[in-house]
Amino acid sequence: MKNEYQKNIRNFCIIAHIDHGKSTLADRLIEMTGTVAQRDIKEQLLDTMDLERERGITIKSQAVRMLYERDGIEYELNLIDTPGHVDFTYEVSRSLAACEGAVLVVDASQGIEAQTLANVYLAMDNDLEIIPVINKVDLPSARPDEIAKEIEDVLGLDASDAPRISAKSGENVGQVLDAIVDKLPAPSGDEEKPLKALVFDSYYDNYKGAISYVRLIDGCVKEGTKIRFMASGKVFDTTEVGAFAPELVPTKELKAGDVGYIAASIKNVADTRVGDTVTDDQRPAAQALPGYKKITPMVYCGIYPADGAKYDDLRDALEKLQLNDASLLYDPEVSVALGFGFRCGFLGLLHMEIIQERLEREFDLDLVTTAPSVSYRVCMMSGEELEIDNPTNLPDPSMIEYMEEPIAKVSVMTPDTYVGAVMELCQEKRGVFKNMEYIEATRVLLHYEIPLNEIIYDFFDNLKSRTRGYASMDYEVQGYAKSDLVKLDILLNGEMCDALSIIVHRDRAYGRGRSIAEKLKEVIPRQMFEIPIQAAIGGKIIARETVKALRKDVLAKCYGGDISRKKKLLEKQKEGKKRMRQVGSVEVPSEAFMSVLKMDK
Amino acid sequence: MLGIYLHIPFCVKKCNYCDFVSVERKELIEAYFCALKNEIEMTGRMYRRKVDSVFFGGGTPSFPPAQYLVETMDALCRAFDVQADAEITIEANPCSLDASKLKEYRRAGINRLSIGLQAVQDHLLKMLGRQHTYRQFEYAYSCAREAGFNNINIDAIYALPGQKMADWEETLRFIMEKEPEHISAYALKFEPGTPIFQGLQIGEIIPINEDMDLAMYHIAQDMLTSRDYDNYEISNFAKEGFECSHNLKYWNLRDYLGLGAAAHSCVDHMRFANTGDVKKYISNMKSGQLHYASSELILERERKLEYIMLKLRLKKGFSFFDYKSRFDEDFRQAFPTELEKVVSLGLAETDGRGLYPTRRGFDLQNQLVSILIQNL
Repeated sequence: MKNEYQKNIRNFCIIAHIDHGKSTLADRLIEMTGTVAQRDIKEQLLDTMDLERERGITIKSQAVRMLYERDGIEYELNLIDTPGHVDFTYEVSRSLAACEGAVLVVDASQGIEAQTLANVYLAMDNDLEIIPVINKVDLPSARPDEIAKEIEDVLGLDASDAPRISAKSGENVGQVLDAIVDKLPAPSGDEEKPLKALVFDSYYDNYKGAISYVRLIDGCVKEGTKIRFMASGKVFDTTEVGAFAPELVPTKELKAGDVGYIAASIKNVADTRVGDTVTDDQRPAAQALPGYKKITPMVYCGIYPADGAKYDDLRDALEKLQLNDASLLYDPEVSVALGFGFRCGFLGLLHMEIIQERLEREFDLDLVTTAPSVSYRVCMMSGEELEIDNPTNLPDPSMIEYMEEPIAKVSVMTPDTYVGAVMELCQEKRGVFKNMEYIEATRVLLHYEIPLNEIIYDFFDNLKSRTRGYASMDYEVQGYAKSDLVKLDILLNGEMCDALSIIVHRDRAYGRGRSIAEKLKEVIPRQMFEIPIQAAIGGKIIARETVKALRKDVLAKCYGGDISRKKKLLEKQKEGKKRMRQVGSVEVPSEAFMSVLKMDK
Repeated sequence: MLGIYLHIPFCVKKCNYCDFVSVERKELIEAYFCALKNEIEMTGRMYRRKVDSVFFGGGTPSFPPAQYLVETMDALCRAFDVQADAEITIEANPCSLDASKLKEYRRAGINRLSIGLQAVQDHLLKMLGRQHTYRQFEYAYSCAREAGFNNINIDAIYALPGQKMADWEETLRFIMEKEPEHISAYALKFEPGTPIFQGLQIGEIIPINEDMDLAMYHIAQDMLTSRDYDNYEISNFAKEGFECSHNLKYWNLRDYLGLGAAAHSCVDHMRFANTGDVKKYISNMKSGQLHYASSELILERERKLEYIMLKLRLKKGFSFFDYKSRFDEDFRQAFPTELEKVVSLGLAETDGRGLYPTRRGFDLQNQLVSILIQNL
């Protein structure tokens, strides 16, 4: 039989909601197959970033090849670890497309969550064989029978012989390995056909350049193959191919059905975009693989160095992060209040938070970030159409014919006792109710359409607090809709602070203006003069607060020659001042620019 | 020249607002003064400089029997070259003073007395946890004058919880009637760890508001300066020629040596301090070795910060000439924007020769200094 080698290969991924045990199960599988020496095993083995370990999330895709022997046959199991968050839906979909099957991990006490559902549907769209696994059966609150029924009812999957495991203790994890071997199809594909490989991730290595993580669909690739990325059109000479062990191990070649990597001295990760198809330049495939999308950022914010002198450091840091993250966009921008910085585009809120945190941690930068914004479509009287992601750049309202904002399809899964609370929240956020379905007797799935700018505001925190953490959500931007939007400006001591402007729906402007003014009153320290804080639409003031003047600020006494405390106080004040931004005559603390974000009760 | 500070960490009872090192343990007095004598003898051999000010602070230096002070002065004069005209101050509580004690102090060479009155209303004294009444103060004060003290400071505190403006004016009036040479007027500060701080946190004590605090400060400035007390330092007022030369050492960045538990020193760009643990201090000195709980070399940058923050506590500020002779740079060239900012904000004035805090600069001294050191 042609392509005999393929029958012992299984390419699969694991899908799960956050905290349901995806990374722990992966750790166990790696351990049980002896892929990594016992002494090198640490928790969340595939999550290489500190941030991933701390937050218990997977940000970047990873892959590992495991060798599993059963009945004298050695199987090659390629696990592709995928990010689990809605921000990375596209990456997940590409990782899924690289597999034949998926292991669906469901927590035995919590059951199916909104994100699980979204990812399972993605897997089904990709025609994957799905193996449901019920995890955490050792917990006292576990109710595996009910969960199995839920899986059958909600997802339509046969869960009758789903392994019931404890990834933590290793209980029954062997059943998962067997299920992978027995139930998942081996890859098909023809090694004689022209090369067709799907890029499901990439990673920048200082020595080898951008490395493409690929799944070969057809053909083969080895050192010296001239490869072409079909979407970008770029051509490179392959310098190395190999497998994940999980570190990179060079092999002679990669053939149809294999999962591995290609290094080709690629200078820029943007040249090897996730979803692109690699082919042989000399003998190209007729058609690229379906599903490639040029990803566009959904959320934007301004990122500035707290210390203006660190602008170059910030640029270097962004450049380095972008090497490994082609979805991060940044462009230089100038703010009157914040000086020189960058307008950055992200896939979503989590992606934004991660980038900010990595900049601060890995590059030791102190940042000032502005409230996130989405990208608006502005149709001008002149017929011109603009994309605006920075409120400051919004043209004069008199020149605007109408504006459109992105709308997201939101699904919220919640215990039915909180349906009222969730609906109330969605209505407050200008949501349009679509439908509601019962997942099981006491759990409900609600579908709404909500403007994205309401979701990035504080939707998720609110959802969690109003449902005591029980609800989960998923969203997907589905398009743009006309909306009555206005620019809300903030004036400090009579001067407009550009970095505090936001675009809001007219109906929400008064409330937002009031709460921003109140919040700023709390965070702006008293200064030597009274500071009026005003919120305005156009020239019209809609809210006002006042920071009272500081009238006495002195230490009465320098104690018996001990001036250390006073010195410390002054040094602290000085450090504090460094973190202040001068807006006209007013000093504004860095955190003020972000604090306008989270304020709704 | 050198100033010497001696810390006497004993009190009958610690006041509710005080966070200085002090213990209510009479039985340690003997051993403590013995340790202090050891330290005097050890340091006396190290610093061969003339001493022109001595200050006994506390605690309550007037609390232990006078004999200990006499012996300490004796040891000090033997170990150091204390100048004949040196200012020698002792801090005292009204209730711990009597005629014979004061006579002994005089005999020991102590020539300046600093009495902690704080307020003339007994209910306020009680709230502060003071052990004396106003009557006891009057008695102590007259005894001091009789004993021949012709350089007396009276301490007063304002911005007290429950204090009315009229109370404060009354306190100031009563003090001025006594015609002391020197008056210190401090705003109450809530120091962490003190009983009043705890009271504040649990809401039992309600602080007066900032506007009242400021108004009280201003009324003190107005009333005292109108009676020829010069507001030579933020919280200090003196008749001409009676500024406290020991305290001026702190503000003028002169050298001083601190002896006793928790005492801080600054000599030749070194700052160091003894342990604040009285028992540990005693055992350290018993071992015959100087142990400093902390010591640091003050580098140029930090010294500039100290200079700006301390000098600007004084009405006379500092002269650019003095700054240049210390740091070898022209202040006006080194800090042009900062200088312009503090002047334009009305926090300080300059005549081209020096920088002087304004009244507003006294009110907002932290702001004045923070602006000047912003880029230091």
